[in-house]
Amino acid sequence: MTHTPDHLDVLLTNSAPAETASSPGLRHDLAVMAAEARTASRLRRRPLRVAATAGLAALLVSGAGTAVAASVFDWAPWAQDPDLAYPFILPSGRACEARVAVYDIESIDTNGAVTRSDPANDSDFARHLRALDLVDQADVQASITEVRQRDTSVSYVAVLPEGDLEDVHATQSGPTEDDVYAAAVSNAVRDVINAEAAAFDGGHDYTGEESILCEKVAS
Amino acid sequence: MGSRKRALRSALEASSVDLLSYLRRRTDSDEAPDLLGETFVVAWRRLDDLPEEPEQARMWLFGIARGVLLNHARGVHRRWALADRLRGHAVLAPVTAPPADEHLDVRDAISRLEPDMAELVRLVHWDGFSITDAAQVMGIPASTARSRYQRAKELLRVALDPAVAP
Repeated sequence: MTHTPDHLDVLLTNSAPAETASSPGLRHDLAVMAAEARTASRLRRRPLRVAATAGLAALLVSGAGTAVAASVFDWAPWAQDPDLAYPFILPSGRACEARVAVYDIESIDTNGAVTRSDPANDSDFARHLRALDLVDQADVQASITEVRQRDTSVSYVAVLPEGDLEDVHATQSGPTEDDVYAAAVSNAVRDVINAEAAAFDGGHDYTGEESILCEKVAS
Repeated sequence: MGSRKRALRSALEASSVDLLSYLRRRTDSDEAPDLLGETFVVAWRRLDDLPEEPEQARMWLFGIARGVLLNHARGVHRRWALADRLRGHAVLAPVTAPPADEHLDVRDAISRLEPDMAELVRLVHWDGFSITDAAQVMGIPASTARSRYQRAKELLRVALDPAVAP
C-alpha cells in the first residue's frame, strides 16, 4: 500500500466512524433536550448548600409550609408556594434557601420553545415531589467531588454578596469553599428531581423554576 | 436577551445532530447523549458569550462539547434523565456498514498521536472542519494548528506505511 499525501487524506477521512443519521424524530428529541437543558441550567445556576453546623444533615423538605426562611428573603410570586424548599447555612454562616417549582410541559414547538401547563394547577409530578422527603437522596459529597473537577478557567458558580448565586467569569483566586459547596448541592438537588422525574410514571418530562437566595453580606 | 436566547436555540437546532456525531465518535455511544445534555446545559449557562455570527456560534458549541469531553476524560460523569430518550432512539444505531479493518488501523494510528494532535486530525478529517476552524474549537492559534497538523500527518505517514517515510 503506497501513501501519497492525497491518499493519506483519503485514508484519514474514510476512517471516521459512522455519523449519526438525522431524522425528524431525532431532531424533535434533540429540541426537547435543548429546551430541558435550559431549565437545568437555571437549576444549576442558583445553587444551594447544606448546613455546615450540622455536618451534611441537609434540611431538605417539601412544601412551603416547612420553609424556615420565609420572612428573610424576597421571593418571586411563583416561589411563594414552592414544590420543594431547601433551607441551608453556608460555611461562612450565611443563611440560604432554595425553592423549586415544577410544571408539566404542554407542548414543544419545532424551535424547542416550551409551553408549560397552567402554573395555577398542580401537576401530579408536583404533588409527588411535595409528598417526598428527599433528604436522604441528595448525594452532596459525590457532587462536591464532581464540582472540584470542573474546569473553572472560564467561569464558575459563585455566591454573590447581594445574596444571589450566579455564574461569574473566572478569577485568579477561583471559587471559594462556599461556591464549591453551593454548586455541589445544586447538582445534588437537581439530580434528585431528575431521578424522580425519570422514575415517575415511566419517565416524566418537566420544566420548572428555581430560585436560591442567601443573606446579604453586610457592607 | 430574548434575541440571544432565540439565537442559541437556532444554533443548537442547527448543530445538535453534528454535535451528537462528534461526541459519539469520541466516546462510548451510550454516553454520548449525556455528554450532549451537558453540552447543552453549559451552552445555556454561557449564553452571554454566544457569538452573534452563526458559523462562529457553531465553533463555540463544538468548543463547549470538547470541554465536556475533557471533563469526561477526567472522570466527571453525569447522567441525564432526558438522555434516555436519545439512548433508545433507533436512528442512533449505526446506519452504515462498519468500517473495514484497514480503517481500524488508521484510527489506531491516530489514537497513538499526542492527544491534541490526534484531536486536530479528527476534527479536520472526521468532522470536516478547516484547520483554522479546528484551531478555534481547540482554543489554539491557527498557526500552531497548522504546524501541529503537518507534524501529525508526517507521523501518520510513517506509522501507516514506513516504506514511504521521508
